[in-house]
Amino acid sequence: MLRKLMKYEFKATARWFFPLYIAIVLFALISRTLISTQSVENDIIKNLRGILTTISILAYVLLFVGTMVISLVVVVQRFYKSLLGNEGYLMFTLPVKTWQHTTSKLLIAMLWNVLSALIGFCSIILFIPSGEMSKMINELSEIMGVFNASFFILGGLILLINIARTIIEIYAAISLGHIFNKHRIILSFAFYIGINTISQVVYMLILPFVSSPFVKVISEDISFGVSIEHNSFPFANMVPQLMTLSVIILVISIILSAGYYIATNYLLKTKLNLE
Amino acid sequence: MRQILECKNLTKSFGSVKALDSVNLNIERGRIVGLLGPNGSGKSTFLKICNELLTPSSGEVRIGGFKPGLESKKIVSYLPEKSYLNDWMRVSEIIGFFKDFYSDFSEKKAYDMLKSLNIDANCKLKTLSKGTKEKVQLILVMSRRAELYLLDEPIGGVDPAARDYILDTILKNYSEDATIILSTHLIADIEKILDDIVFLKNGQVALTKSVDDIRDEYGKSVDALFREVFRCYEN
Repeated sequence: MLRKLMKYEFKATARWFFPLYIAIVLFALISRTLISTQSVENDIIKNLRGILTTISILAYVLLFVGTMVISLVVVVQRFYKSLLGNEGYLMFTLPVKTWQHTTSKLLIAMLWNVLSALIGFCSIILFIPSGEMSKMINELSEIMGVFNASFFILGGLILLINIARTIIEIYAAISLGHIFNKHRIILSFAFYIGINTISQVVYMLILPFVSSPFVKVISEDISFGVSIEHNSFPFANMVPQLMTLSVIILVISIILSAGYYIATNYLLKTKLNLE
Repeated sequence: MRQILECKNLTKSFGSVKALDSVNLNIERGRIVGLLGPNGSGKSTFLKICNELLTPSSGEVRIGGFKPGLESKKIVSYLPEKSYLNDWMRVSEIIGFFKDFYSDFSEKKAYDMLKSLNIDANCKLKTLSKGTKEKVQLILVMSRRAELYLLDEPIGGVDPAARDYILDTILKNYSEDATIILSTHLIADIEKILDDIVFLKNGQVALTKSVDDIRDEYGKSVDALFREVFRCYEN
């Protein structure tokens, strides 16, 4: 059933994102072509090309920002409208569990956020001239060389779980705001600020405590200049500490996300109050 | 098991207001039951609780032995008073949606009914008129082979000409064992299809009786009895 819910959630949201993605890549390509084409041209053509380039880049930037905004709007709108609006009468009478609704929405929202970031990243790369490209890759791989694969996996996991946490914070806030009969939107917004503050406070309370050995290593490194002599990347011998810190961030994020997820499902199951 | 729905001391309060007040009800299989009462008497609240859209404050309701939840939803076909159709699907797509989620849904039945009511399956849901949306929802609900149909104001928004067809559809599309509970204000229109009636008044059951008994005992129609029982509510 989760798979079916996800199928429909994907269909309902894809009509927003696919046209945007295609347009972004299209305008990135047009801009790149306009910038890089060099030919003998007279003033009129040169001016025209200038104008077209400006328009194209502007369109690209607007689409880029638009996609980021839509990614957020869809998270809010799909949850609010399809579960807590009139469509909730259809969704909540389907023979599925409440957590399957939340999970299908969450996973699809995450998918779009990741895809949007990837499309954004790839479209920016299109702007980099090919000569510069190989130089940048070399420099990057040199820095990255000091980290092992597990570090990247960990980094990816942290990124994913924090996308999830951000989305679930929104779900929890909307579910809380929905308990009340009036001012649901304003209340949801207030609850979101509250929930987000809780998350920030938790990170701030725990991180300095566990990251102190890490900070100590950095200061030693810099004062003795040890690593700078021996390694191409100055922070290479802090990788173990960095790993520990990452694991702790990951664990906090998972606990927070799980807490908000359970709260959201509880509220939807027992406090549901459709208009 | 003859009972499809059983209600024990079901109470639902919103703040200090009791929308349902200790409702006790037993409804048997194979009956068509009219849930009748003036506005705000708790009809919709009752149907929402049966569909797990509201959680009771106390007491319980069981459908086919199950509390409202996954198992009850498999056997209940619910028509809410609200239009729940989304704005991005076509009629054919929402039929596919129902087919996907309900194993008792008959696609053929749905398309037959669409055809009789002259509704184009390729239409986008958001372009349909309010009345057509109601018809589509009723078609979706009645195309299931459920054990219990809960219909909240099924004919409220459709024209009188379509009403007869819809009542006909309801009668034709439910099997002998299935039960229909329908709430409405339009008593005169549906009276001829009802077996039993439940009068709700201020969240309490005022009367439960079979339509035959009403005719025998009171010598009047359900509509006339309704007007009498709820007289103080009418001007």
